[in-house]
Formats: sequence, C-alpha cells, structure tokens
Amino acid sequence: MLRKFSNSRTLSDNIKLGSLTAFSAGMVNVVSVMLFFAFTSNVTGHYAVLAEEIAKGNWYQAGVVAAWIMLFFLGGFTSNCIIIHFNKNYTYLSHAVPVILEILCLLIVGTYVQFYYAETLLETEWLVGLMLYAMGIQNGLTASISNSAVKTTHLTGLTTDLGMLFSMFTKKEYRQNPQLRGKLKIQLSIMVSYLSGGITAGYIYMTIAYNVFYIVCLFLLIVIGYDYYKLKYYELVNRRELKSKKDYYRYVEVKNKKKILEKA
Amino acid sequence: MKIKLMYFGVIVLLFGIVITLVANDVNPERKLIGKWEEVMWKYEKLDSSEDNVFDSFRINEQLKQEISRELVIHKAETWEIMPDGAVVLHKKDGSSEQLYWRLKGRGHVLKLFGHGDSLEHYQIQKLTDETLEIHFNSDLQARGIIKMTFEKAKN
Repeated sequence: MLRKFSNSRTLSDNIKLGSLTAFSAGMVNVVSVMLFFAFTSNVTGHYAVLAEEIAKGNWYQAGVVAAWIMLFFLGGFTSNCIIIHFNKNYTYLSHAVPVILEILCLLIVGTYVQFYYAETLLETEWLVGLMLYAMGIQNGLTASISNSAVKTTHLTGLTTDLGMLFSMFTKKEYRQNPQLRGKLKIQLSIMVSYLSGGITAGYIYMTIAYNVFYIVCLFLLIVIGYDYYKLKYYELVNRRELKSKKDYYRYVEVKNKKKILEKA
Repeated sequence: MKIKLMYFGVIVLLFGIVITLVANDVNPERKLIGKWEEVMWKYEKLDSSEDNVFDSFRINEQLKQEISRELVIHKAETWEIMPDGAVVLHKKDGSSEQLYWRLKGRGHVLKLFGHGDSLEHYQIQKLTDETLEIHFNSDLQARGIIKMTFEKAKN
C-alpha cells in the first residue's frame, strides 16, 4: 500500500490503501461529530460555515473555523512535503511518516479526551483542530502517492465522480474500458469503507466510548505494518534467492573443476 | 531564501488574520454568562386553523407546556448561566433547578445535563450581548424546530 509511488501502483494497492484509510476517516468523522459537534473530514462544510459566520459578523467563530481549514491545509502540506523530499531514497519511510504523524495526533486526542477533557470550548476547538490536521495529513498522503486516484476524506468529489462513471457506463465502450472499471472499484470501495467506518464508530462509541480513537490507530498501524511486513518478506525472499544462486554457481564451478581434473 | 521568506510570510499572514479575528471578539462562553429572560417561543411548523394563518408560528402556553414536557428547561422562565459551568433555571412558581452547561463545536451547540440521564443539545442561532436565540428540534405536534428567544436581564 505504501511501498509504491504514483504510476507504479496497482489497482489492488489503491483499493487496499483507499479502503483502510477511508474506514479510519469515517470513524474519526463520526466520533468528532458525536463528541465535539464538529466535522473533521468534511471541509466543504467548513467553508460554508466560515462564509456564514463572516456574514453574521461572528468574528470569533469565523477565526476558529478559518484556523480549522488552515490546519487541514497544513496537514496536506506536511505529508506531501515529506513525500517529495524523501521519496527517492526512502520510499517506504517517507510514506509511513505521515501515517505515524496521524496516529500521534489521534492518540493525543484520544488520551486527552479520556483523562483530561473538561469540555471547555477552547479544548474542543484545539482537539477538533488536531483531528482536522490528522485528516489533512491522511488525505494528502493518499492523494499524493496514488496520483490523486485515492482521496479518502473527499466524499463530495467522490460522489460526483461516481455519478459521472455510472452515466458513462450507459455506453458499452466505457463499460468495457478496464481503466474506468478500475476507477469504479476504487471509488466504490472508498465510499463503502467510509460509510462502514462511520457506522462502526457510532456503534463502538455508544459501547466503549473514547476507546474508538485507539481502534482507528490500530487500523492505521495495519496500513504501516502490512507494508513493512511485505518489505521484510521480499527482502528475505531476495536474499534466499541470491543465496541459492550463489550455491548453484559454486556447485557448477566445483563440478567443472572436477571434470577438468578428470580429463587431465 | 526568497521562497522560504515568502512561505514564512504567507503562514504569518494567515495565522495573523485568525488571531486578529479571535482576539477582536468575545468568546461565546463569556458572552453566554449572565441572566437570560425568556421572551418568546416560536415553532417552525404548527397546526393552525385556516382563518389564523398569519399567527401560525406562535403557540399558546398549554401547547408549550405539552411540547416541553420532556425537556429539562420545562417551565423555566429565566436561565442564569454561571461561569463555573452551572445553569440555574428559575421557574414561574419561584422555585429553581440547577443543571450544567457546556458549549460544543465552534460554540454553536449548547449542551445541558445534570437532570438524571437527560442530555439536551440546543443550536445557538444568535448570541449577542442582548439577545440569545436557541433552536431545539422536536418531533412533537409542531414537527420542526422550536425557537426560543431570550433577552439579557438588566440587573
């Protein structure tokens, strides 16, 4: 999921990455709505709210919403900055660091809410801001490494794309186009995962409350851990292949030497 | 070097705008503190007689009591919102009840709790030094939003 970059990624890589990250984004969004009464992966709504607050002259609220939008922007900036500066030499690491940052943000929010949250407005504003930063990181990462094929928190664009794809599939030539079929699979898997994440989070929140943040972190750890395992696995296989090749060449060399000695 | 300065400048400018906006207005938590007297209850949709269409949003006392029966603010005429997170609901008969309040979201959701398991959330539509307007969604009779307007007590 995280090992490959841009055009070297397969459809399966993008579906796996999209599904797991969209599931965690859906969970984060629902928990933030239930706990803080603010969306954390729906930035389109924040732009509308910002405009409304400015029109009403509520400058404090306008400032808070503007800061939230900026933090989402900063999240995208951070992840893409890490990727473009370190991708050449440390591909996996440059993709894993943004996920680690996201996990850290969510762990801070989860732990703070569990042990210290006194429900003041200032705390709510900061925690929502941190979650928006985490979602910005995630969206920036998935969009960056998949060449914009996967955007896990961008459901407005996704729904528009799905509408367009379904209208295109009314024609046979588009239905048989493997690229378009692949795109449909990615979009559908993201939509289903986001929704299932939200439903799961809602249910979990009602039963085990704030622990839902730790479950989201667990999902993100799977994303990192799966690729780390794959990297280590391929490294081991390559080493074994290399070793067996070396053994083979040594065997051939010894055999040839024997033949030469016999002839002599 | 120039590009770094430009990036730094843009970040400072954006955060400067946010800080200026926040610093030049009062936090909704502080705006809310004080004594608020109820002046009006209105409904978004209300069953009304055909000859009284223009007054369909206003409700009578009996209907108000019926709809607010399940709410903790039931029969409260004046809300006294304290800075320590407590809210005292002064009722018509002179009695009072203490609950707790918190603001959520960007300061647009008022949460009231402390009345058994009851937990109520009101949308703050307008909050100025003089006026407080909150909405509550109800599925009882009126099928829509209850709009409650308060004015700040002078004392």
